Amino acid sequence: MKLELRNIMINDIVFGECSKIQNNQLMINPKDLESIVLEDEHIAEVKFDIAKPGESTRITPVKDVLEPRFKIDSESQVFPGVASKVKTVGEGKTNVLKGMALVTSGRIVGFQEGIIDMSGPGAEYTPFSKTINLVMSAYCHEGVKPHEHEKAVRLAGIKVAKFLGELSIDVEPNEIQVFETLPLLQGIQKYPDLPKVAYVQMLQSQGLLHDTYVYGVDAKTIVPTLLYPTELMDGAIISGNCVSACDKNTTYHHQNNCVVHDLYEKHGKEINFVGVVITNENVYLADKERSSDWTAKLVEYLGVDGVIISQEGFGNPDTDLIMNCKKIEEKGIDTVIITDEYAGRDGASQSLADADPKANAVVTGGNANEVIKLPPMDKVIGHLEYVDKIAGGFNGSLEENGWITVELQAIIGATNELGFNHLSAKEY
Amino acid sequence: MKPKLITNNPEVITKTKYDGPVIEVKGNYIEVCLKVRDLLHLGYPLLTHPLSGSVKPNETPYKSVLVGNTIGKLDIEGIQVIEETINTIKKLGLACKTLDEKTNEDFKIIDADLISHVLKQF
Repeated sequence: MKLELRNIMINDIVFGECSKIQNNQLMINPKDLESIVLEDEHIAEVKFDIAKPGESTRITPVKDVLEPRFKIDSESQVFPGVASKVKTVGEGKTNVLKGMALVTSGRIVGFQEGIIDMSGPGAEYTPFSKTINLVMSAYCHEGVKPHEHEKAVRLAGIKVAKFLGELSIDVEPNEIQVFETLPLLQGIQKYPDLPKVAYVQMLQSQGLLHDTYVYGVDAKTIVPTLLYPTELMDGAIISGNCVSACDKNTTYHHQNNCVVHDLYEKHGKEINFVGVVITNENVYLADKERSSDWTAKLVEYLGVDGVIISQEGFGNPDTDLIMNCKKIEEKGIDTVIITDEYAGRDGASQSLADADPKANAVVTGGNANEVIKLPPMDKVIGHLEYVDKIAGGFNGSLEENGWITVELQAIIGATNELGFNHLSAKEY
Repeated sequence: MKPKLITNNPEVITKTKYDGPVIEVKGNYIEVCLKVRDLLHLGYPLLTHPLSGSVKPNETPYKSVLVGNTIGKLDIEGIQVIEETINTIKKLGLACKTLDEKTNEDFKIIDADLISHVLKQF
């Protein structure tokens, strides 16, 4: 499967009379987007704002972040099974609006979370302070239940991202990247001397506000399966995960999965990257046994020498992570796990809720309990009163002078477990 | 025999309509876990992870856990999980925020939803 990513650099976003992309500027008529969002009967009102890097702007509470993309030459389309018909993606040509992000915001539950600061110390901890952000704040009618609310805002974000991507249909890209994965046997024959490596991606799948969708299917109902890495780039996986801002994977993270990109970088040189196994993180212990058994079975069947495993979330998923690691190692396959830590504010406590001596190669995304003070911003998009209630906030975290004291877990992507950030730890 | 549901969430029954045995704990998250630990030491197996959800023990007051209803060989792995959970709760601390009614209600809804996906299998 071969995918051409055609990156169109977006250097500016402005509101205007029409919606178009010209000279690397995205012009948006908010009315075009409002009509898409308000198609959903649950949503009463929607507002769009623009937030640029370096501005004194805080966005909170953030639900999801997406990168607008559009396939220009095939019957399949991005976000299959959700915003497009269910047709296999990952092949052909896909336009990408690079340098920008669609950020969705809106109150779903009372402890809604997630901060993006566009400047100041908090900006250093989130990758979305470096993108030009179009922020969609959606408000549902009174009485709409959290399940319906989450779904309405999730689907609105997907539809708007697809609309924005479609504006690029006749735009020439600034840069083209090509990614290719051959069918397994051909791929193994092509680089017979290189170690074969697979990537196991764990998906959050516990329930309301903790869900992920694969081709539109709720990940808690899947058994582990195989994907070509390029399918991720075309939006095969979308996020419905709204809790634990620091280590959830937004849809943007799935589209730009850095483990996949880094493995492609080394593919054919140091390693032979054969593909992706996706698995879930359910609450029921029998599901954990089944999924980790199947994950180990699939990577054994692929005949790989090594596996990278990335986690999503904390606590319950620590058990899935260790089960996956242990069972794969027991097959004689080396593993490296990517996680983050809840090691207490001083960093001195045990980092994970589960452990095993076989987990002897660990990459960390940082300590989510680390405390940070954020200065007031001139502009707030969203609702600051939720900061007291978000994960990592605590009573009194919003001070009278406007400063906020929070744990890193309140900041979107701060300790991301794909490694899509700068925090880590090194031991020699 | 349907599994035992151990919970301190008063709304879990109405929200999930579970008709199996329920042990209501009048206490906090850690007291739910201590009750689960007692049952595991009697030989009941642990069925769901007590650290379910990304809403941490120092945020949500509510937790529902499912334990098998047949006494058998000691569930050593389950006992390890519950001990690690109790250690994690002690590390993070218990929820001590003064919750407004809406937030309190939302925590109940999340806990009920997470366990509901397992309950409907029985």
